[in-house]
Amino acid sequence: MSNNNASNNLIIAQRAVKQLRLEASFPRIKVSQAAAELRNFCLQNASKDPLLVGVPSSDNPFRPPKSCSLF
Amino acid sequence: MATQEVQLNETLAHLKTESETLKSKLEEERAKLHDVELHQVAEKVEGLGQFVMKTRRTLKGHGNKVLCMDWCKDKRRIVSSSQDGKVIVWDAFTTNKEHAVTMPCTWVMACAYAPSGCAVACGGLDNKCSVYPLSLDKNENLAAKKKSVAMHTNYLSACSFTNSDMQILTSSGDGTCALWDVESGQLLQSFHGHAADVLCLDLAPSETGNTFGQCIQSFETHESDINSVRYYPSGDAFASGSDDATCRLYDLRADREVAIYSKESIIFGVSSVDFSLSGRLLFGGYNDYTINVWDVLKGTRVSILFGHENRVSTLRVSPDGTAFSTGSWDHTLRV
Repeated sequence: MSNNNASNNLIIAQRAVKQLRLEASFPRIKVSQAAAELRNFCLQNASKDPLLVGVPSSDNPFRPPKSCSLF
Repeated sequence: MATQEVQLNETLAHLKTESETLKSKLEEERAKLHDVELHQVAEKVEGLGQFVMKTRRTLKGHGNKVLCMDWCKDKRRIVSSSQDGKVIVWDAFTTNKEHAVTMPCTWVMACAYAPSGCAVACGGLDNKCSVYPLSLDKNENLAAKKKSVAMHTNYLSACSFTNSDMQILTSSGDGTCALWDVESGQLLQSFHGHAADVLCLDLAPSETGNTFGQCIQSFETHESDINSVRYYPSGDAFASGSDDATCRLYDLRADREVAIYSKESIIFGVSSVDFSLSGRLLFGGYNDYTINVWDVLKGTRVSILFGHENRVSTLRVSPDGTAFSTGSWDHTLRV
């Protein structure tokens, strides 16, 4: 019984170590570079972002509905 | 027997020390690359002006808490699911309800619109994800056409279609995520690695086929349940919202957290996060009934929105970025 438990723990530990080794070998870049790229992406797309730039009322599909009168 | 045990114990101890050293090595590597903060890089960027965002539409009709919602690619339809077991498809421009389906279970925690706009998927306490094709014929009973796609051993927390109507990704309280084929209901892939319930999932913007199913990166800095994750529009980063009242931004290539969005005055957990189209704004729905809008680059709060009368449970920006919709425990959705 205790043998089984021990070998289970072993398998779990082996998996954990394998996972950590994988994560350790992951190629990483510097935060400054990553941050610069994030910033550039934001700035490049900022003009296309309606929530940022605002949409003229005539184009805004969600403008308050105007009442229609039909006679 | 005894010697075997001793041997096993030794190897176990050996593995434990190796994993400890690997962990600290990882910390070191990550710290080495942490040479600057995101908001420092963003110092020269122009600040954002004052934002005036108003509720344009209020969608009423659910009989109980709204738990989840999703936009259709046509930018006007919304599907929402609620605790009362109902899944409703709305036209957000006109606030009309187009379809309504009653699920056999309550607490429908997940719903998603298919990319084609012709079907919706939903699930919750029934441990399954079901796909309902939407028919234009109002008289047709949608529930009859339902297809049960996914089966988990615990509640379904989130679901999302991949680029096509044919595959759906689900995450569950049983700690796994899985990829299913809609037509056959077959499990294509399953993703393990989480130690507890998986609460939310998101697909990278340009995902064409994640075939490995292996955990490649993991991030642990939140202090409590992470309720929501959303990919940054460029696919290189993602944001998370948690019960610890913070939203954090993680960069995938730098393999670490790069920003925290929090304020001392905010003590309630974040239930849901989403980015604006350019990624400059991060919207967070909070359990204190408000929505906080953060400047992603500078790390400051741009705006706080009020309107809901109970906690905001779900939040999504529309596909073209012209609006965002929130669902709340006050039984309504607001656009």
